[in-house]
Amino acid sequence: MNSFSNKKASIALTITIVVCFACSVLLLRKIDVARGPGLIRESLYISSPSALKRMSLGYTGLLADIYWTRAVQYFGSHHQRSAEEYNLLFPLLDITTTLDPKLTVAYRFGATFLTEPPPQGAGQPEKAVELVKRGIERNPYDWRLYYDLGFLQAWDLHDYLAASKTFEKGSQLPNSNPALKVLAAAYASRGGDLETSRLLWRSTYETAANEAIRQNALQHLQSMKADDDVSALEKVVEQYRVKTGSLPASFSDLISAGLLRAVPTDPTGRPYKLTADGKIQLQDPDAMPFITKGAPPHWKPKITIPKD
Amino acid sequence: MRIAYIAANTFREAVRDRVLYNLIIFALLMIGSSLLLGQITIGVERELLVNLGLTAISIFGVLIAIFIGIGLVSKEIDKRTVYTVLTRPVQRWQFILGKYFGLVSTLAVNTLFMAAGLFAALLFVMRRFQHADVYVLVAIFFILLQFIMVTSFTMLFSSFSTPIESAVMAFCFFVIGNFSEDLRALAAASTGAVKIFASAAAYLVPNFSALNISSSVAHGEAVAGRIILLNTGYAILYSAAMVAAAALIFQRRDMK
Amino acid sequence: MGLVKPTSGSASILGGVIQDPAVRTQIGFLPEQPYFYDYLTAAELLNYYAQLSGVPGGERARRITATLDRVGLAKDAVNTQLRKFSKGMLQRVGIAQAILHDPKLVFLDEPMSGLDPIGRREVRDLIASLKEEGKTVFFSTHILSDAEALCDRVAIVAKGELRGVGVVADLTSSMRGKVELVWEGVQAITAVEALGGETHVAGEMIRAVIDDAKLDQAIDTLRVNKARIISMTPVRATLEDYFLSKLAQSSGGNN
Repeated sequence: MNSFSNKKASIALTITIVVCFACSVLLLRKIDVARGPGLIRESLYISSPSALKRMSLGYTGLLADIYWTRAVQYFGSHHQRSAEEYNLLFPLLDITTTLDPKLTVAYRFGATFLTEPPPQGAGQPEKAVELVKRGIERNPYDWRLYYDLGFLQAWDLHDYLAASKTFEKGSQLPNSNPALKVLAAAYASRGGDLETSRLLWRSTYETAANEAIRQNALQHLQSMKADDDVSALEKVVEQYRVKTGSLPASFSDLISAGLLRAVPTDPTGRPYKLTADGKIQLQDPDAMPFITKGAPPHWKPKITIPKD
Repeated sequence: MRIAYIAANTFREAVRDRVLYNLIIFALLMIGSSLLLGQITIGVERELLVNLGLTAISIFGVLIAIFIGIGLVSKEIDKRTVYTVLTRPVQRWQFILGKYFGLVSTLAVNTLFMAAGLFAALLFVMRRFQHADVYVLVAIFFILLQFIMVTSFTMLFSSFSTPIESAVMAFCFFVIGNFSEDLRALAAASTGAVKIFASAAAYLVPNFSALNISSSVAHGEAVAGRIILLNTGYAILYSAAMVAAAALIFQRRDMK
Repeated sequence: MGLVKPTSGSASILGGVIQDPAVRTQIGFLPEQPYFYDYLTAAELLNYYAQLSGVPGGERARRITATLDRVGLAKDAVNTQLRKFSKGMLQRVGIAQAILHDPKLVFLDEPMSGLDPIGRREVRDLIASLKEEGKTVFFSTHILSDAEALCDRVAIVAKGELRGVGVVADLTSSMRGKVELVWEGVQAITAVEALGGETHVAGEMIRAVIDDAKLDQAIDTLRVNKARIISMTPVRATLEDYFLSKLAQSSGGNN
């Protein structure tokens, strides 16, 4: 074989291609890590969303999708590390909805996750309201945005009358979900009691299309049930103490005393714990981050990725 | 070396091509017009000038890279000028490399002139240079890195398709490359077949997201030395792979 | 030439293979219908080719001037861009780039094309002088008389296949010759025509070309008819005759 064969050259070139490309991929990954949130920051360097819209030369829909993807990615990466701030979420959603005012999911996402306090969300309910109100201006026939506004007014602003009115208005739109009528009535007559809240979260869980929003609603429902359970169980413990004069050592004591039928489990299926001083605690409070009772001392809510 | 001779000849060809001058004039016009706009809007003269100037250099450079790049190989074959070159003691891969370096040096010289224009305009507007201007230089260097990548994949396309097809594909690669970080985010978030396709595309297209630092530089932001190093290495490796692929295709091609 | 990949087999040239750059420095090539970089001048083009063929830097200018002189390119054309050249001028530049680096072996594909009769004559003389320098010149042409005049050896290719290779004289002599007879005496015409020759009358004299084999018969016929023989000249077969006969053979065979 002479040293000038085409085959040798082809092999050498093929090896060069593979090696160089592989190394380029490795370096690219390093660059991505080094840049971190650089892309998001740079996304916001435009002077204003409307200026960006003008510069996008008619490709506003596509650009809106790109910014929406960036918003979701930003939220996801912050969510994963239980961030304490989500400062760029509103600006990103602002740009997204300016570019495409009809992108309903962006308003809905903002309604939920701008409101939730950190580390679940941005903790900026006023911004959420601003976003949803803008959404209603641009999409006056979309009942889902009325739902979101009513939700915010009820849950965050505690303005039950306004919430009721909003739900009522939304229920009159074509194709609206019957839950709106029910919620309108509930908030008009009963204000913000526990039952109404439960109704609210259940409606959200049943009507929302976005998976993240549904999961969030589910966690609220589970947390509320857990709260109820903890209250009820602590009452049972109290009954036992009155009856026997001492605290139960375990659930078996309560069962033998005829006060319980079986070891109680929380909404995620884990059994409750009975502490030495007669309090009820959750095995894994992180699974239901919205609980107000049954948490061990010094516990702070963290993000868990809900298991399917 | 023979590669240098071929590169010099390619450079000479580019310089005698009218397309080059039209595009340079347009670029300089853009820089000039940004000076005018700066008079109208208050307080953002530097930002506007840097943004517009860098965009002009970038866009017109890419246009030159594509317009001349699509003919680098196909023109030689169509016009049969390649016959009298390849029958000389020139290896096929040397030919490809020579043409590549010829176009890259054309772009480099071009960029030098346009950069001089930009800095002249900057001096005119700001009356003096500031420390942050160093990063404008880095931005221009990053644009140059984009050029060497654009030239490399344009040349690859030129080695097996017609000029029009090459131009279209090169343009697509350029546009998608500007959103390559988003593409990788999409790939990371998806599953199944979509994930495979998106990942392949995300690493195949050039990563221009990291090289578009015009807006941050316009705001006076700094660029870390490590990032500069990583980007340079990446651009060189990516281009090397593309040029090698072009050489491979050219190697196996029959001249008819 | 390294332009098209072979389907099978191997070939050696000048003791090496065509892919070896060292071998290629010894070879010059003029393609059919050459195209050159039209944005270059003749001097720039030849300088570029000289660089690629490994002509040392100091030598180049001298070689270029000498070669351009040899192919007969006008002095004022040297620094004009090639896009302004006529076909004949381009052909001369083409030959120039093929011999510029003093190769041992020169391939010329249709070197006469595009040239007027003076140009063709000049190229023929050039090829002859290259031969005198000890170079091997391999050229292709449609013009068989050129091949006959210049070549030591000839290969006939018809319809893509090799039909004959050899020294020119050997090839033509393999053909059956003819003889030209000139005589006075119209009475013999019919008899000679019966032997298969065409007759031409020119004044008093009659001329006919007949097959070599029938010569004796023809002479007898003329004698019998009391004709006066003026001359008897062998007519040599030309390369063209050879070519046409080979073509007829193979098409007869193919049918």
